[in-house]
Amino acid sequence: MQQKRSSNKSKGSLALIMVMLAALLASACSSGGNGEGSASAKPEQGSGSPSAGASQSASDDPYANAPRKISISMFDRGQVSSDEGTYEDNRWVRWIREQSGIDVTIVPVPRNQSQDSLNVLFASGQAPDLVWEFDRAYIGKLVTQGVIQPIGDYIEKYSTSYKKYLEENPDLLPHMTFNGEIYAVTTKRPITSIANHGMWIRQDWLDELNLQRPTTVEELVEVAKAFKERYPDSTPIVGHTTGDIYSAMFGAMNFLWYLEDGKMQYGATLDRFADVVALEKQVYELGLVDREYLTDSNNQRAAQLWTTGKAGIYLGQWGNGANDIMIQDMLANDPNAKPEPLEMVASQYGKYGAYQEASPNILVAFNKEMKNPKAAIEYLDWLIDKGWYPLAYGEEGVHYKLEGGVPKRLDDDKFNKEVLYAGEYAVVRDQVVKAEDLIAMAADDELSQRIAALKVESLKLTLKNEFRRDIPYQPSFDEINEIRATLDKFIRETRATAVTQGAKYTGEWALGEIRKEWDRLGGAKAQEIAQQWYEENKGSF
Amino acid sequence: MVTNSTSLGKPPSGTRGAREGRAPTLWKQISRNRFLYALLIPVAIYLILFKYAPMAGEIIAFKNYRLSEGIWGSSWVGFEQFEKLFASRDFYIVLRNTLLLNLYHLVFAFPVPIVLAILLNEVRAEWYKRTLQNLLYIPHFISWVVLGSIVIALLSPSTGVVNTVLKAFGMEPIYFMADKFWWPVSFIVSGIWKEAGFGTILYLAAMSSIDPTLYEAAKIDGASKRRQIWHVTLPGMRSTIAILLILQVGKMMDVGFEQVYTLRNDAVTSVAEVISTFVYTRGLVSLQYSYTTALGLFQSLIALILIVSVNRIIKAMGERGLW
Repeated sequence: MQQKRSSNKSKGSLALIMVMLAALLASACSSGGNGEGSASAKPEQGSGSPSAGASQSASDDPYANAPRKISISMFDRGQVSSDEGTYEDNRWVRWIREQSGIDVTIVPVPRNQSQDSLNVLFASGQAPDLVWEFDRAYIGKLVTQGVIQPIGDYIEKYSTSYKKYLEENPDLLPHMTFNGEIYAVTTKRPITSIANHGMWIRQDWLDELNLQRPTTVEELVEVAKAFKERYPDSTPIVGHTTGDIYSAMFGAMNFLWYLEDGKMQYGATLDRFADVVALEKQVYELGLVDREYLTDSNNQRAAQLWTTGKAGIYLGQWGNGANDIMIQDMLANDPNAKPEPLEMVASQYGKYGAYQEASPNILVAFNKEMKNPKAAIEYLDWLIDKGWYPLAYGEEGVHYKLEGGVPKRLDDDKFNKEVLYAGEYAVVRDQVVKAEDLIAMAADDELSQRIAALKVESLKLTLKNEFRRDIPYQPSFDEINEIRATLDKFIRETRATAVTQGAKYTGEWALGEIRKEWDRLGGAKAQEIAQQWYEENKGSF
Repeated sequence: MVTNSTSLGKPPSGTRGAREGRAPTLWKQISRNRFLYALLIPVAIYLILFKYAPMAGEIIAFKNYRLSEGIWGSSWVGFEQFEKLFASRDFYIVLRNTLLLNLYHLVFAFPVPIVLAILLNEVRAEWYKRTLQNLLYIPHFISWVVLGSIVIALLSPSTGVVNTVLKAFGMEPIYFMADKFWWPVSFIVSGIWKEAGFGTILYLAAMSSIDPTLYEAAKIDGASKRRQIWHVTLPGMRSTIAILLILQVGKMMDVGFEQVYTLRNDAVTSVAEVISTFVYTRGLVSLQYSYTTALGLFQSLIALILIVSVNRIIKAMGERGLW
């Protein structure tokens, strides 16, 4: 008897352990499996919201009774300080929920791994309802993978404000269209974000040597040589967009398609690309650039050389963000330094601008699995109507005051801490900025005003020359994506070899190697497809 | 009660079990040690859930996986991914780099903890030994992201310590990290720096289990310190070395992602791209899931063959092996 009871008892405890384990696993699975579950605890804003589509009658609206709830991705740039909260929950997210009347859940993805993080979210069925990227090619990949849906009908049926915006800006349509259908929503960039790469030079160094600003590639090299002679310890040319700026000078960015006599050609296979590599090699061998640029993957050395006054020319961004901070640092280190924007120099092929963005800003795509596309459209409508403005500039009277229609920043530090991170919540915005506004927008202190004045000049110089972009947007097809998976790496390595490994390797050699690799990977076929795409689409350019 | 049941269970297991085949014996054994087995359940569930169940996903190596269609819905393509893999030049470069780096590791890095452990074992001053051990362990606990930038800074041709020393001896500075010959050297040496100290733990444990009387006997026979190490210490560590060697060979197809990712740069991609970084860039970033899964499956298969054959060899040499 005793024996039997003991075995029963142990069976019972074993069963108990099993049950507990099962419960543990089940709960772990459900909390991991459903990212939106946690948001349901938030109070529903209900139907009383101002932007609800009043004209929709319940009968032809399948989403009339669906909860007005959406989730949207966000780039985590690590800008939310701990007392502000997190990317998921902070004053602006609460404000968005309150003002839009839609229960919005933010799903942050790390900026530097945004695409692979989103891919993993899609693969595990946890991707947010709205997914956005700056990179049109990535949206193209999502279309190929079949995880996002066409949204032309939704815009037609449910949108008011965005529909109107699109009617006023029909040139955006081709950028939103994939395989003949609209897959993403976007708005136009203000000029401050069209301009991207830019060059800076130490005017005080030029003055000291009695030199003019360089206007051609040759003059640029001569000026750099003169800098090196005058300041032997310096590194004349540093930067973090150096390779792209050299490419832009010759109108041959390795990853863009170009039109040569009506024929589509891939940037890295152009004759001009040999000149790009040759220039890179020349400045390297003359000791005009940092010889360790290859291991400076986070551009720390470059920034350090520039801000401590050990570099004469910086190839980076036209302004804003990190650039403003670098100039602030430089002026703090050496109040007599005179960093000034430098216009792009001309090559033998012409004078092209540094890299500029195409007109569309953030592209917002709709997850195929989303529950309530109508709420998503309403959210975007609300954003473009009025929601974006405070997200971009902050609260009136606290972060800015209006001066002649321009929001003037009151306190840089306060803005950087409390508002800066919110900018990208406004995925669509009806924003127009004029170069002169930058001065009015900047805070009143002397340094802010000085930097703002430099930025106005920089912006004008940057936009003066058009970045060579032969077609308004790039074709996206599997063959080229596949080639690029191998070729991009090959180009980088060949470029590095040609630059650093001595006289045997020239620009011509690099181009020859790249062309060989291009052919081997099936470049001819890709070229054919690109050509066909061009013929089909050139009417809409 | 427990002792009661075990003593009752004992007698039949020897005689009846042999006659009726293995099953009853096994069952008896399990029921006898049911609490121990119950303790094993969480681990078993963990292994099944996180190590075995995901293996079902390997079928995408034979499919053309698309995110929208999922693992089951995607279309079957047979061996197409493998054919594509074996036809691509990348594959052979990546495979060669992986194997080479592991071979260097096996030849140069694997013996270091053994030597280090023997040296530590011979240190007499206890405080000195302790301090030394702790210092040796520290790098193991620092992530590669941090160590990587330290390595790059140390080896910098303009500001690095190593090149300052070279220059002091009148030599030309070397850009170690951007040179196809020196990069693998830096890779292996930095790996030794990080892991060799921590690797001594198992060997030291093996040495502490060596019977001290053996040393005494050797001493009486007039063996020098070197002879003692050769005839007593090393044989005492043999089985540990054998096991670790098998495990190391099992990792032959695998180079840790972090170390390569933080140390590599554009100039050395042709020697630094390994399977793990390739799978990351191709699979996770470029969405070629099936292609890279095929590569992963191939990698596991080779690793399995390697580990089984080395285990055989080790056993043939008279050691116990892994199984």
